[in-house]
Formats: sequence, C-alpha cells, structure tokens
Amino acid sequence: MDVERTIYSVNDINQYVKAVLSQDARLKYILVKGEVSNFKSGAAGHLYFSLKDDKSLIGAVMFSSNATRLSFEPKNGDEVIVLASLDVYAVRGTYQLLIYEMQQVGTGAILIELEKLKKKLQAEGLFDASRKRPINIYPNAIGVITAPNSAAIKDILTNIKRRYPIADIYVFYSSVQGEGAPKELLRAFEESQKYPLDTLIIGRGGGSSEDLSAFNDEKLVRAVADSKMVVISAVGHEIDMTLIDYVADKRASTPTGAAELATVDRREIEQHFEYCLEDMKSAIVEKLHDMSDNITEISEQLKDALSDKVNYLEQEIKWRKESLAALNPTSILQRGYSITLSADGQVVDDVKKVKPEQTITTVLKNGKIISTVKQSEEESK
Amino acid sequence: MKETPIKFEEELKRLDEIVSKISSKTLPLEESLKLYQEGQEIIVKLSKLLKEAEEKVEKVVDIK
Repeated sequence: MDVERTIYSVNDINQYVKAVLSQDARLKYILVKGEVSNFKSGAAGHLYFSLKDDKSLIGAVMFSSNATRLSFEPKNGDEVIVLASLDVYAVRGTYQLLIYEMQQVGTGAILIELEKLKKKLQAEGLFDASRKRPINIYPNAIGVITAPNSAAIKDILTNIKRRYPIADIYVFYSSVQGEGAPKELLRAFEESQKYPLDTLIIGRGGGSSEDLSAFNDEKLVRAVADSKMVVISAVGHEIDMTLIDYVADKRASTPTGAAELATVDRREIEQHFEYCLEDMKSAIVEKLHDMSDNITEISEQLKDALSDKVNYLEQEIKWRKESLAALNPTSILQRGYSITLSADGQVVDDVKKVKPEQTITTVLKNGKIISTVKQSEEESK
Repeated sequence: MKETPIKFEEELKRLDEIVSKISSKTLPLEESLKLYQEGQEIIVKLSKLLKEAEEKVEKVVDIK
C-alpha cells in the first residue's frame, strides 16, 4: 500500500518549532548572563545584539518599550544579566532572546530578587495548574481593577458591554505604576473581595514604556493567589509576564482579551437561539411526518384485514350451502337412492312397519313405483 | 449590594435539554408541542434580558 507522505512547508516547520519552544516554561522568564556584542540600535528604539560567552552566542532583541527603562547605555563588551524569554523568529527560522530587563553585572540584584521570588512562589505551588479555576462565561458581576482614564478600562468596559451586557461591572480604580501602586492595587483588590463577583479582571495596558514592577509585588501576588473569585490578569502584553500573570486563573495578553475570556458573546447566544428554534421545528415536523406515515400504514393493514375477513365469510357461506344441499332428500334421489313410504305416507325405515299384502310406494328420482308387500324379514343379529 | 438572581445559564441549559428531548423519536407529539412552547418562551425571555441590559452603566467603587 502506498503511504501518503506529508510534505511540510518551510513555514510549517518554523511555526511548529516556535510552538514547541514557546510552550517550554524553562525557556520563559529566565536570567541569562553574557557579554554584549554586535550591538545595534534600530530607528524605532529597538535594540538588536548578541549575547556571548567563551563557548557560544545567541541573538537578542530588546524592544523599545523595555529598552526605555534601561538604567545604562549598553555597548559591546558590557557584561550583563538579562531577564528574557526565548523567542523563535519564524520568518528567518532563527531563535533569540527577547529581553524584558537588562542590568550590568553587579547591578542585577533586582532581577535576581525577582527570580528568587518567582522560584519561591512556584515552589509553594501558587502557579500550579491545579489551582486554576474555570471561568463562568455567564457572569452576573465582573470586577475590574485598573487605572482610571486608561485605554485598558475603556477596552474592558466596551467589550464586556458589547458581548454580555447582563453582567454588572464594578470598577476599582488604582494606579498601576509608581511608588504607591503596589499598596493601592492591594487595597483595590481587598475591596473587590467584598463584592459578589464571578470574575475579577486585573489589568493595565501594555506596550508603553511603563513599569510593571507593581504586579510583581509579593504581598499583592500572594493576595491575588488567594482570591475568592476567579482572576483574569491582563497585564502588559505578550512578552511582559509578571508574577500576577502566573497566579491568575487565566492570563490575557490584552484588556480586550480579558473581557473576551470573561464573557460569552451575545451574538453566539443569539445564533444558538436560532439553531434551537430550527432544531425544535424540524423535530416536530419530522414527528408529524412519521405520524402520517403511520396512519397510511395502519389503513393499509386495516384494508387487508377486512378483505381477508370478507373472503373467509364468503368461503364459510359456500361451505354451509353445500352441507345444506347434502341434507336435502331430493339430492339423495338424484344420487340413485330411493325412499319407501307406507300407505299412510310414513317413511318405511323399519321392516316391522310393513306387513304382507300392504301397499307401499317407492319414490325414485323420476317417479314412483307402487307395489304390494309379499314378505318382510328382519335381519337376524 | 443587591443580588440580581439572573439564572441565564440555567435557562440556557433548560433550553438545550428541551431541544434534545424534542429531538428524541420516542417523545409524543403533544409533549413536544408543550416543550416547544416552553423553549420559545425561554428564548424570548433571554433575548429580552440581553436587549434590556444594553443600557447598564458600570459602578465605580470608591476605595478608601
């Protein structure tokens, strides 16, 4: 038998490699130490370079959103520690480090602390998949913690209202960056716990040069891990993972994404209604068809049964007629027998009924014979 | 804090149950018609809920 072999495109392979590598938690949010080389600063403010040590080299990119946070100007030869995730650039079939934070060796203490905290929380099981709760996409109430007048709150509100307007929305405003942010976020979070919410969205817009450190605050992260209601985090975007994202029940990469995870879309419900009506109608029409088929069948059966009965009765009548005919004495004469009558017209069915010299009449099929008895003899038994 | 006892999800479940019951060959026509009516009522009710909810405004909670 010929085995059909799949032929992959180059892109299939690169996309697959990307998918495999991006699933590996050991390649995410890791600390890497190396020396900067091939340093280039792009027009949009993105930084492209390599990190190398005495044995090998890896490409690296730091987008402007993260690069603007740098506390030093990197140059070739700098010893650095970076916080990064491995990323596959499918277009070229290359992989590289996507750098969130970078510090010169000796000043990397904050990153090392963050990494330690992450390991500790992870070891306590706070990131475990078994802790993640399912989202009720038909929520009665949703809470939102985010910054006032932000694109994030606008996107979340617009999308929830458009998708599932039935949900009540409670907004708990808090600053999301700067000195006081961790405390404010914690207060907003604690307040939110007093409300009968199905889901709590904690979010902020991503992509700007802002600081995400508030969402790595240990107290806040621990509190969120113990949230009464399901938490969806929407902090930063795809490449900016914070500890809140790890403890949340579900992580969205944008505020709009969080609103979409939190609710069913009413258009889907309304579509579902259409299907339900269709299904119910066609089921009933089918039942009616079945019934009319049944009626036809039964009437056929009834007709057959009746005609059988009529045939039987006709046959019966014929039989009866024939037996009646057999009993008619005339028919006995027809078959060649005769009947003997005495002078007074009695049927002579016993020899003792006649005596010598009496006149008897014998009836045959075509006339009678009148005779005189000479002698009668009884059969001896 | 007011509770809004909307049983949207339960109503949807009931609707799905009705559809699958009606689709069963063994259910008599009369029962089916009754269920059809119930299903239709649920759809009307939920559609109305969605429509009426459009005017809702979010509540901003004051954080002390």
